[in-house]
Amino acid sequence: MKDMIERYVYAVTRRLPENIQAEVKNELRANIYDMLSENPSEEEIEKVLKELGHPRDMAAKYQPKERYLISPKYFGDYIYTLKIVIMIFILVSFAIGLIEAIIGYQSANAFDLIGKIFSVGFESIFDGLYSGFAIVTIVFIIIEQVQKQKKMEWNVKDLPELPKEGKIKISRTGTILAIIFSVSFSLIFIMILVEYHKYIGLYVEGEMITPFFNPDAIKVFIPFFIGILGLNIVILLLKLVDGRWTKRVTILYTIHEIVNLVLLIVFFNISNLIDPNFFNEFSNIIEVSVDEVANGFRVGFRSLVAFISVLVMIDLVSLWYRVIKFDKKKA
Amino acid sequence: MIDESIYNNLLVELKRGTQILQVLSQMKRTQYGYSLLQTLEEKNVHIDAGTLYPLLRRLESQGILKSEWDTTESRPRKYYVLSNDGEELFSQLKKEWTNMCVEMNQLLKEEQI
Repeated sequence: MKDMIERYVYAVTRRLPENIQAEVKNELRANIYDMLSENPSEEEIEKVLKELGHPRDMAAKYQPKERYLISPKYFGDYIYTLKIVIMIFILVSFAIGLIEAIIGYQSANAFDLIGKIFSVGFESIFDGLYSGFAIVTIVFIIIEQVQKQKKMEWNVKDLPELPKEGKIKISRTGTILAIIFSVSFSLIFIMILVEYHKYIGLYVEGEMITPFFNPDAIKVFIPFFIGILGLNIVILLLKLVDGRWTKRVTILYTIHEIVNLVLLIVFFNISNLIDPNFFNEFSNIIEVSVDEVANGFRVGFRSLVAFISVLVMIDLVSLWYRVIKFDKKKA
Repeated sequence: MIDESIYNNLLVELKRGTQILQVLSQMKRTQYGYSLLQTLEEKNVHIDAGTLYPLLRRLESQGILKSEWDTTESRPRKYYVLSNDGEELFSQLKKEWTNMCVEMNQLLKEEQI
């Protein structure tokens, strides 16, 4: 019976700073006994304890200072920073992971590589979430502690500039030009894959000795590249309709960029992309070993893909940064 | 129709500001937690025990109340009373309250007409 009172008192005091625990314990116990009759029944004790309220609430009221990591005052800034930093961290760790995967990649199987890219994607999401969350939270806790000590001085001149309205808009002419260029480039690329790859190869005195591409290897990619082109056209049309970076345009654009990138990575990394005969003939002409030629091409392709990956990531980071910032402004 | 929880929140906030004055008004004579609760209750002022006890402690740590443990009885009790500074502070707050009442009545009367 008395046990219940002691348990209640303990549940309150264990949440308090050590130096006031003993005092509050005595005080609370005395108060509880004052509220009870000489020989209280269990029901009576229960009623009194219930009246005092949840031990956590009670402890909060006894707390000498309000305790928190990030106050409501900073919470909005905290969430805003969290969004941007986590997004940048995820994309950066995705880019680094991709480059590592491409450099270390050996298998001939395209599906292996796709699997690898997916696992890099998942890893980077978790890495970005963890490290972004940890760093931003720690920084804000420190800011909170430092600011608590001093009164906030501020100057009207320090108020941030209004973001430029037009920045987030998509120019119509730009979009139409983009449609013309990207669609014609994609079409040329697809045409090469479908038909004209035959004519790309090693020529000696106007006579083709060997083709460059391995037709069996590139055939597989044709439907994917056509699909990407379709998605691209849809996005460009949506851009025209919406006229600015709306959520749907931004998300579709991001998906398009990443899928496109993955496809390029796979395309340039399958080991049988280039006709084996090409390596033989080419090594004859420039008089180095077949292995060295093959290796040279591999390194060349991988560097190209790594370079493109970095550009795409920079593009996406800056796009999302602006979109989140704009969102914030609207809110 | 405004939600009942909103009404209750407003009521709690309104009462919270007056609680300290209610408590201080009874602290010219020495009181322990439960006796204060009862004194207030007799005068139809209800403060939750879970709110009152921590409040006493806070007022003490601010130097408004002073306390002493009485261990002569079978049960030890902590007695509180207004300190000298506390008394001065209370009379100032009381003046503020009186002014506020006049102003409030003025405002609410205007609204009635």
